[in-house]
Amino acid sequence: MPGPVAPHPVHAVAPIQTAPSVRASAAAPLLGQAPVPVATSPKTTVRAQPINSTPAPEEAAFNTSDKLALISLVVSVLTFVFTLSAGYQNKRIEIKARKFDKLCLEPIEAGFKGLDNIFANAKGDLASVHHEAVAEVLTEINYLLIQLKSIYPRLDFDGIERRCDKFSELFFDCEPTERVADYFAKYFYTKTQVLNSLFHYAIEDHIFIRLMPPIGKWWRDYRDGRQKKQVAAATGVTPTSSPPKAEV
Amino acid sequence: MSITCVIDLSKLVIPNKTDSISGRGFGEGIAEREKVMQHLEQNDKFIMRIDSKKVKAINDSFIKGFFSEVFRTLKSRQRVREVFELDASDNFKRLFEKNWAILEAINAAA
Repeated sequence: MPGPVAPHPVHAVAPIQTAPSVRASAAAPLLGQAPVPVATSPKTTVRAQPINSTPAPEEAAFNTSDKLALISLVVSVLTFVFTLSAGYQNKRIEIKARKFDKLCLEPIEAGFKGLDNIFANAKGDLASVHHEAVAEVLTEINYLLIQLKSIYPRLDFDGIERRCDKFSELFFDCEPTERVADYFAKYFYTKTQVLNSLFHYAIEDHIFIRLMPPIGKWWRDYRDGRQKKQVAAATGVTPTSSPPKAEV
Repeated sequence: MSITCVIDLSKLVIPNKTDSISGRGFGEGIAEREKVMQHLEQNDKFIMRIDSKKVKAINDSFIKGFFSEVFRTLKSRQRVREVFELDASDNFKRLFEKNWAILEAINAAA
């Protein structure tokens, strides 16, 4: 008589370091073996891994490494586009800056250099002796700027003209005994103001607005909108002024 | 019937005292004194005389003051040239031309 059949050995697996809540309820059936119930205890966790189970189609198409590869590709493409765009913008800035330098800054600095020579080398001369030279240079600067107004319409020509005229009038109204050196400080102030105005335009208006049209347009719209709101709030009337003229 | 008026800018300087002409207000005042706008309405012409021996320099402000009203009426340099004849040295002619260009641009912008 056969003795009592020994119970089928249980494939006990060493407990793994997981949280007690993560437990397999049954052991996976192995090939050629009948499914065997697994006795689990609260302290014993069994890892279940089906061998011949097929993954879902979505998982097969986009697993984690595929997703990472796709993200890497997108980041690479964006980086490439950004690098190209930055290089292009950089080149445009360089071209615009050079053009502005050649057309505007260099001739005006050359004009001021003529006046610098007078103020440096003829300090002791009577101011009245140099009226003609000063008037000629300042006229030349204004004339040059007015010609550039069609290219750079936002340039503060009126402000520069006023400053030059103010200094010119002051210099012409000198006392007969006054010397060139007496007007150096006023000349230096005028020159600084004019050049400041040009640099301000070049950096803040010309390059920014012309090279980054969407940002520049957005900023102008935002600024104008705020001003209009303030005016409307103060007066109770909605202003209907036209937006500033765009650069050509 | 149109006439030709002579404006002698040399008379604006005082020999041995001043040899330059300056000031926007002064220019406007001279234009008013010479009744420039009234003459323009009559289609009169002008000769502006500048003696280089007496007048050494003219300031931009004076020219702008003198011609500001004129440009509001005549608008272009070409029209101003037709009405105002300069009897002066080449230096002064260049100075006036440049200031007329500036005034033309200012009026065009306004």
